[in-house]
Amino acid sequence: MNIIEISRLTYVYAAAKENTPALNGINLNIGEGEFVAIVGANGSGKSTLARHLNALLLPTEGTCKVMGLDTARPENLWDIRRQVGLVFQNPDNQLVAAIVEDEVAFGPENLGLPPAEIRLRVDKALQAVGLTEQLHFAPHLLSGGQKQRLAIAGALAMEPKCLVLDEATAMLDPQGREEVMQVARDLREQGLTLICITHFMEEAALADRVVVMHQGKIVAQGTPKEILAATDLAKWGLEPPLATEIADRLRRRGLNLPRGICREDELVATLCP
Amino acid sequence: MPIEVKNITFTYMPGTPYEHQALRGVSFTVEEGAIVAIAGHTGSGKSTLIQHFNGLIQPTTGQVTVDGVDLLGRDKKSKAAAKEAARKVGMVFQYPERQLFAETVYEDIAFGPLAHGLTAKEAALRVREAMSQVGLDYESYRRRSPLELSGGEGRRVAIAGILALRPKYLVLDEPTAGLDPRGRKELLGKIKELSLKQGMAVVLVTHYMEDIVALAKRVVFLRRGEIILDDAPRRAFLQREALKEAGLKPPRTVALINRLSEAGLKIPRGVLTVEEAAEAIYQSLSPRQGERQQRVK
Ligand SMILES: Nc1ncnc2c1ncn2[C@@H]1O[C@H](COP(=O)(O)OP(=O)(O)OP(=O)(O)O)[C@@H](O)[C@H]1O
Ligand SMILES: Nc1ncnc2c1ncn2[C@@H]1O[C@H](COP(=O)(O)OP(=O)(O)OP(=O)(O)O)[C@@H](O)[C@H]1O
Ligand SMILES: [Mg+2]
Ligand SMILES: [Mg+2]
Repeated sequence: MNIIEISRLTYVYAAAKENTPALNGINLNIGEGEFVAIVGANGSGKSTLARHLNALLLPTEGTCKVMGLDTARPENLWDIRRQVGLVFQNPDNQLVAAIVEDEVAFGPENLGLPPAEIRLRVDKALQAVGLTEQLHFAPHLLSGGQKQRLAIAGALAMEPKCLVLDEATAMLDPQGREEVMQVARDLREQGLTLICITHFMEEAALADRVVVMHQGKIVAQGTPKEILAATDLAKWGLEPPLATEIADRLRRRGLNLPRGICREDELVATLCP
Repeated sequence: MPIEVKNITFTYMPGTPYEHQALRGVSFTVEEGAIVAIAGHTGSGKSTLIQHFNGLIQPTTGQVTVDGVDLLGRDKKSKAAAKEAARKVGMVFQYPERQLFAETVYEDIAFGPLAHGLTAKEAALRVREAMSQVGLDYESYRRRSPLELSGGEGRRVAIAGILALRPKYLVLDEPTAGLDPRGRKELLGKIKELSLKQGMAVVLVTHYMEDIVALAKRVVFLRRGEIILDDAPRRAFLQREALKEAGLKPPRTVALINRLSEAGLKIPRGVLTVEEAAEAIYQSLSPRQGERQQRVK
């Protein structure tokens, strides 16, 4: 079943009426439980697309459906928002509470969950992002990366069906990045749909499917092998992942390596069989 | 003369339940024209440290001087000198988009140069120059509202606003977070060029070890408010203990080489760039290349 169905979606920011649309005729279906990476240059429309997935933005033309529910119908808003968790690139835009634990409890409270369940979810989410020590901190006193972890915890505590990470790991240290991706992948084992917007092709290489955006359009999509290891990414302002680049260089030196290497474990397995 | 940080400590909100000692005796010098990177786990004190470099934060104890001038002015005259010295330090904050405020991208970038007393004409030149340095097309962006940009576009405008000041010391807190791969590469290249050509010193705080490889001659690891290592990246990234202690990982290239050698490939350490990594792997394979090619087929 598709959890997301986007059809002929065009979006024009009001301020930019005279300009080109930020999204231009997007068609995209995402299956339940799928892990999709969205990549593309700055300004290509990734965040604009993400904001449609929980009805923060509504299509200027075309439709966006989440679990069969049209985002344009106000009566669907509640159901859509509780099923789609969205974490933005800049956490300051989404932190609301005065204390870390309230911040995380905010969503579950709005769902009307019993206090014991809320407590459980808050502790679990803070543990997952490594913020247990800062439980009683004020969010604005946290460092940049701590804020980003907090925003992620807030989304996790909602236990959404679909999690959209819009460069949510950009301000994290390497360890934090790995931890968050690991949490996301664990949740995926439990059936979560994961949509990950990233500038790191190494992260995109872990997805089931990679979608490339360019100037408001989807210009390519396929498996990481098809997109990251076999396409000229430079024309979209992108670069191949490290494993692909090393494999290419070794091939140019005359080594006979199979095509389609895009993850480091694949490269290691190929070079050290 | 350099930026000198002399044995500083810094405590946030002393005497409250939030009291937190973010820096514990840090000494550190940024020589003129140097490119220094600062890395460390989230919350290790990186942003706190660099905000001392232009006097935005005053140390709880210790001293910070820029070109010999103490940034803590004690009387009217030394306050003016401190302000003047702090101006030599251009600072791009961690979420710089937050500080964008003007009506247009043009005005936002021109604000600093005008505030520093440049004429409108001089400022105009600076704006064009800075926009090209960060890869923003002048005609398409100058009239846009800085509040209505994508994440990466906003980041570029914020960086341009500081580059337009042509600071003697450029301090960047996570400047490449949110930039697309080409933008990241080009920005780092541009900064390196400015450093070489104009002798601008650069302090780069980053979570991306690849940025450090691309740019820095020297890297400092911060751990819980203390410097635990200060060395050339080539040596620093071989220090597994220090990396672990600082909560860091080596750059992807180094991690890959480590994995390959754990998998049995005889490969030299000390490799940093992608070119070097590919070459080292090639060399380590080539004696047995014929045999290996058979197997790969
Ligand atoms: N609030 C806004 N008002 C008007 N135009 C906007 C607004 N936000 C974004 N845009 C424009 O819409 C286009 C798409 O922006 P979007 O934020 O979706 O890009 P993105 O792919 O997420 O980029 P990045 O990688 O920089 O985050 C860009 O040209 C941008 O300038
Ligand atoms: N205004 C404040 N009041 C109290 N504590 C603060 C304040 N600002 C920061 N801190 C704390 O000081 C420590 C250092 O923060 P700092 O912002 O310097 O970290 P950082 O190394 O830049 O982290 P990141 O990589 O996440 O940006 C953190 O533990 C943070 O929670
Ligand atoms: Mg974006
Ligand atoms: Mg910081």
